[in-house]
Amino acid sequence: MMLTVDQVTKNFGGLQALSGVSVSFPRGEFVGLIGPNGSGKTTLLNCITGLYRPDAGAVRLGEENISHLPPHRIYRRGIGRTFQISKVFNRLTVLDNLRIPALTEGRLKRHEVNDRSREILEQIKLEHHGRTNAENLSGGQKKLLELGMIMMTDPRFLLLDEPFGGVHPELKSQLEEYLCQLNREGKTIVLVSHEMPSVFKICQRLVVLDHGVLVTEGSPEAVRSDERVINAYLGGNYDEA
Amino acid sequence: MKRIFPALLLIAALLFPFFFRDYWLYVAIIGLYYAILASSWSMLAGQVGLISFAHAAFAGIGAYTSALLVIHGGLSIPLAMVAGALAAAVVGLGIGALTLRMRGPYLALTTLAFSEILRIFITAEYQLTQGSIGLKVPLILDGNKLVCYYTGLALFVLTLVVLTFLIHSRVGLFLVAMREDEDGAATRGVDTVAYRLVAFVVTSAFAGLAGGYYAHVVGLVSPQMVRMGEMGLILAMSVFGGLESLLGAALGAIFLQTLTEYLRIFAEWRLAIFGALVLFTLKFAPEGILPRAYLYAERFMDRWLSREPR
Repeated sequence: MMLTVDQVTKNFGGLQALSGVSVSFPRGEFVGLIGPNGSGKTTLLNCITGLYRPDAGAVRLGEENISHLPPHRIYRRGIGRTFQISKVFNRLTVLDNLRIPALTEGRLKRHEVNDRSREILEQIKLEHHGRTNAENLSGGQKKLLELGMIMMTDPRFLLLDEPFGGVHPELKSQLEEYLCQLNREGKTIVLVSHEMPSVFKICQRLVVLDHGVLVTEGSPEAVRSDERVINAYLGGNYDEA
Repeated sequence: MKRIFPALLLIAALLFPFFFRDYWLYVAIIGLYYAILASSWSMLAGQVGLISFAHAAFAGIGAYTSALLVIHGGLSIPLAMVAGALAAAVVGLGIGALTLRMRGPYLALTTLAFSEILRIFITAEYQLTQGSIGLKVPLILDGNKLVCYYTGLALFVLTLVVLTFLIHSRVGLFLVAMREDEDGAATRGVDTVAYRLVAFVVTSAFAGLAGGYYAHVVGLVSPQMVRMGEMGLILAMSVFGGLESLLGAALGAIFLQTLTEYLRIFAEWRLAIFGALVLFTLKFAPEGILPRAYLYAERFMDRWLSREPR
């Protein structure tokens, strides 16, 4: 099943954050969504996950238009996301944070939820912090916890907003490996990141946004040498290129 | 400490009528009414993060519904009180469905307007409600204070048990998550509107139940019940006792209700004193008096237990 963004436009007052963006994320692909600050990457993720409703265009999962659905319904259709500034529930324990997404579905029994939580804790290397309140975790650990939270329900699509931000370099390479493993298992991953070495290393395809417009897309090698991308990052005008 | 204290408190509450009669028993009866209101409002504000100014209004709906059903419908008092709670829940459902999809101060503004509309409606509909004179209501067992007190205590314990169960259930976990980060909860599958509505309707129902109880222990309901001053009193009680602690808010209610009796000579200045008390609480113990007392008690116990034996 393919996730498709079709001619999506989003305005905030006089600011056009996204302008007719069209892009597809086929199943099993590892896509990097890059662009300078303010280019519309997070806005695009917000439109896909239902936090923003597009002013024009549509977001489709397979044939279904999901643009009008609330965020919880989109999550239940298998689209999980993390945030640039971690949205963990600080005053709850790490285990409770993990239990919440699984409990919302209601199909798992309590002991199954607990088993799954412990399994995820091990995968994200937080097995000794189960009873710790999330507010006591480091920034990097919170990023891992967020990823663990969405993994609780085994979503098909993972939209990750700056997952490497604040993560210790050693942990970062483990996280890269974990994401690659998830991708090999069939997950579609959309990675928003300013960590260019990681992006170029693990992504199969890159999509570049600038000022709310899709500048180009293609393989990391092709994008790296694209003059419009270089101009976007260095402040040039790609229309002139 | 947190387990022993409620049990001790319940024993003290059960024995209270053996030591205090008439006047102070009546003060306790009214204190229990406010305790139900304050604890249910603190559930809404402290656990869910919703600020409603219609809690006194829901109590008014419960009181008038119960009173009118007994007077005109011939219903028994217990059944009428349940009907009052249901009426408050239905109105809460209507207001919640209209406002809880929106973010920001809309619930607070809507409930403020609703309370005022209800007060004007009760005052204006003289033929039905006797307006500002007030409606005389049949009393529980002709006003037997002992029965009234234990009825109030039973309703108060019921409120605490149901709300505590809710907090410790799956729904409670979602409510805390929503209060911590609404977008975070929504994007992990929590239907934020539905669960906010559940909390709003349940707490409105308890306010309605408290209103029905008040009507049949006081014997008179009037628009005074739903005025903003009453809502301010509930708010002060919850903040003083502990916004995130159901028992704390209830104790805050009983303490301020008792204080009201001592401060009668100050007339309307009592409210200014309450206001000052709330300001001091917010400044020096923002979590409320009871959670702060627990903290000090635990520190004291730790020090006492870790003393070197002589």
